[in-house]
Amino acid sequence: MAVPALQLEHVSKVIGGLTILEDISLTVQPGERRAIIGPNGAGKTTLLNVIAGFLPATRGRVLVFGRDVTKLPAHRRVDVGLLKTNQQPAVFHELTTRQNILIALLRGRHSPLGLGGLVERDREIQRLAEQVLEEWGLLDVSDVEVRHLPHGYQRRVELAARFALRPKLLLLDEPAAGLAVDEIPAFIERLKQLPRDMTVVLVEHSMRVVFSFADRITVLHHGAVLADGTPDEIQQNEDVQAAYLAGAMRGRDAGAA
Amino acid sequence: MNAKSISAQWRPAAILGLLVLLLIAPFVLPTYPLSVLTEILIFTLFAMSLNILLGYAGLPSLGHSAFFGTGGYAVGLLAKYLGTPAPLALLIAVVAGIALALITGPFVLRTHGAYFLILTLSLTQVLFGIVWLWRRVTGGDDGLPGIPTPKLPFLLGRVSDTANFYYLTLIVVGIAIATIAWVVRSPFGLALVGIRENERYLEGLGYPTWTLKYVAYALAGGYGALAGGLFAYFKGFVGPGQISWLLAGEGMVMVILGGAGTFWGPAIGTILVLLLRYEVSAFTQRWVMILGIVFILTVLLLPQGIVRLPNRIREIRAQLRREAPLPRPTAPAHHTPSERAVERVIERS
Ligand SMILES: Nc1ncnc2c1ncn2[C@@H]1O[C@H](COP(=O)(O)OP(=O)(O)OP(=O)(O)O)[C@@H](O)[C@H]1O
Ligand SMILES: [Mg+2]
Repeated sequence: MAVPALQLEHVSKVIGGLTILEDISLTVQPGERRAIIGPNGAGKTTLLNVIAGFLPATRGRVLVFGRDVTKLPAHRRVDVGLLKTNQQPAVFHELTTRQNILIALLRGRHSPLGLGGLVERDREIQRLAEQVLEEWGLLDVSDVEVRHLPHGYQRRVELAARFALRPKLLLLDEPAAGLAVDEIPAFIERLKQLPRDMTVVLVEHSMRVVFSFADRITVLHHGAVLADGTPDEIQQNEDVQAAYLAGAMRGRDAGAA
Repeated sequence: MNAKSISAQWRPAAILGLLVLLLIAPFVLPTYPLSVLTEILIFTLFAMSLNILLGYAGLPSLGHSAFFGTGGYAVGLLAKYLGTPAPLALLIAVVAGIALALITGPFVLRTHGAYFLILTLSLTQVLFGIVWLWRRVTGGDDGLPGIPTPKLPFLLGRVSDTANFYYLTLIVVGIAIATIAWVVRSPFGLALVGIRENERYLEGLGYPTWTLKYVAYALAGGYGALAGGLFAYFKGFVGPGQISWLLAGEGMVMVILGGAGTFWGPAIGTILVLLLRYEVSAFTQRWVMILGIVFILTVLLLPQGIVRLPNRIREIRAQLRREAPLPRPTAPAHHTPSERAVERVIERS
């Protein structure tokens, strides 16, 4: 059997005496699209931060492509192919769209310290940036400071910068939140076009996005795994219905209508 | 965008023009203004080195005089006890500054915002105390006088001593500034801005942010010490005043006044502060008060510093032509690098 893309073994996270995550174990296969759902405060964001290395796990192990990364700082986990987007788009507000892309590209190509030549004279990197901007429909706003862009664009800049680094395991924290209802179908399309050799872990409240994208779904509740299965299994699961899903779906549909 | 590319087009010509002016200055300026100009060059280097931390990386250091003083005392001690020639002494000054940064970095760089400010300030105070108390070696509050002024040999004594030292300063500062320009425009420089904007996001892209800050701190320390070494030669003297945190504060004013996080801002800030000190103090003793007023007006009206004045005027003119209300400053006040540093101070405390 192939080495799993992501393995959590009995991961717990305690912050200030409060148990936020409790004994979480899960396995994500290479190429899989895994959704993690759960009510507000269930610990989804905390879990992604533990996986990405922004928060150390209190107990348990995190393995990425078979490698134990539990003790590695966040920037070293990027070397293993792991990248994460943020609930609030992780973009540099005072830099232009192009500079945001350049920062990502330069990490991919230069030594960590990057005390190389001048950025603006690096033809190759500028050409790559131009390509990324075009691919993501960002050419029009390439020289605009990102803080002036609407939320949907900021999300696009964030994703474009992450993709420029060719992640093998991509963690997405509510990427559809803040998008307008009519932006969602296009967004789902984009998600579906992600290369199949990329493993995706998606935290999302929009059930429309989750059920049209995920191969498997993990339900978090009060920091623990409540259920784990295919979309059909999850939809049928009574515990999930009771704890979350019915309410969430009702809430979403009412909100969208 | 357009305006930017036009100014980029003129940049080489402008720099060349500035260089020519600086080269002929000794032939047109009397001795006193020439020595003020020398001091401006030295403090421009000091402010630009602080700008690497404060402006680019967003680290509000209030202890940069520690490096300035270290460079000064390195030069002073070497001159007094060993008679070391100036080029070597300046080199050792730079190494001493870098070494101080490498030693203290692991402590101060653990902190952010207000804590970083306080720790760097404390570092300066500790050095100040050592220099003050270790009278036998450092001369205590009397300092080390009688540091001989180095001379450029190839000018063949045809120019005055003031002009000779001016040229020496111009060469050293010119080279140092050129390398700073290269640093901030390299991928490293862009990464520093990423740290200022959001250190966590940058780490999420795979940058070793702590190492980057450590390198930036060491570089700033080296350049700061070089400025301090030059200043010791300029005055022929080094004393505790050159290590005092008051000097670090003045550096901060120069950087923020001119424009933190911009390349030429610190130079403009330095010119303004020193001209105010030397020109206004001829009329009134209240130059510090006038500086304070200038500072407040700048922060309120030009939050990104005086260096943005042309952009601001262009914006206002464009807006007037469209007969629309006046635009807000180019950035919301809380979004300028310096204010961000302050913001972080508030956040963390
Ligand atoms: N640094 C912290 N200190 C204390 N409690 C925290 C901290 N971070 C998160 N929590 C708590 O942990 C719980 C889980 O938070 P988390 O942000 O992971 O939830 P979430 O599932 O992502 O919620 P949402 O759907 O609202 O984004 C919440 O109750 C939150 O208040
Ligand atoms: Mg969350």
